[in-house]
Amino acid sequence: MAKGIKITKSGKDISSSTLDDFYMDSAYPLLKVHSYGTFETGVTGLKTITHSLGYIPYVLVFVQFVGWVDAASYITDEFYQCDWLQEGATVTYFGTVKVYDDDIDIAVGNTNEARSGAVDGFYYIFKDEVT
Amino acid sequence: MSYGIVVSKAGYDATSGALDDKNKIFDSSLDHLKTYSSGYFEQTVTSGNSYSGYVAHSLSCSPLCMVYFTTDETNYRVALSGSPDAFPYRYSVGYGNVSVYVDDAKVYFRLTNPTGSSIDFLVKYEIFYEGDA
Repeated sequence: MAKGIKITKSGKDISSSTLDDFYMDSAYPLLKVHSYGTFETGVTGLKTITHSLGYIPYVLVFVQFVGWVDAASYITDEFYQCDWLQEGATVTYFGTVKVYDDDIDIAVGNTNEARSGAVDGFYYIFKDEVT
Repeated sequence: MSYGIVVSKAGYDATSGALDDKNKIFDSSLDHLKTYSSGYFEQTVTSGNSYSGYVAHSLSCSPLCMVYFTTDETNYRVALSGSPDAFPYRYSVGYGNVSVYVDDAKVYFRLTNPTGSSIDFLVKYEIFYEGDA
């Protein structure tokens, strides 16, 4: 006999075989938050965040976009989900996250201006291992 | 004395204090992502054009979200980001793309079609309570 925990959505039957009827079903692992927060990159557009898990975790990172117009960089108000690497006519825009055993390295900016200025972002690092 | 619920993965002892968090299915002492809203929309984008849309929220923060899309209803791709003011197809992707970005009022979608024919997009999203607040 299988054992576990299920929590249904309102109006749904606990015996339902439709997974979407449940807020939680312990037969399916949930992402568990290890750490989260906001950050500001250095003037080079780089940021390292240490997690010390000792393995490669799932992460989500959103960061402002560093554009280029009228021969100058600008930073958006909105946050964009990493990763992107986009080639324009004369400039490449990037927002990347490299995930390591003990930290993540974030890089955001464009190739026309190495010193892109401080950029804001936020991140979630999960305890769940990429396998 | 602490109380809570721990569900381990098969083959692991939920009562073991040495149980690594990555081998748990659920632990009530840990935070989990909580869905604020989810949904989908369909949109046709003609050749060389784009479509911009959004889903409003009232979270008062810029939320985490996950967005997947398909152009053939078979293969789903993760929606990532692109420039807000240029033709934002993802580097190395020569077919339709969906970009997503967020602020404290909306989740924005930008659908682009760099191909020579119309594309029917199906976009599915999940917006979470968690974000930059």
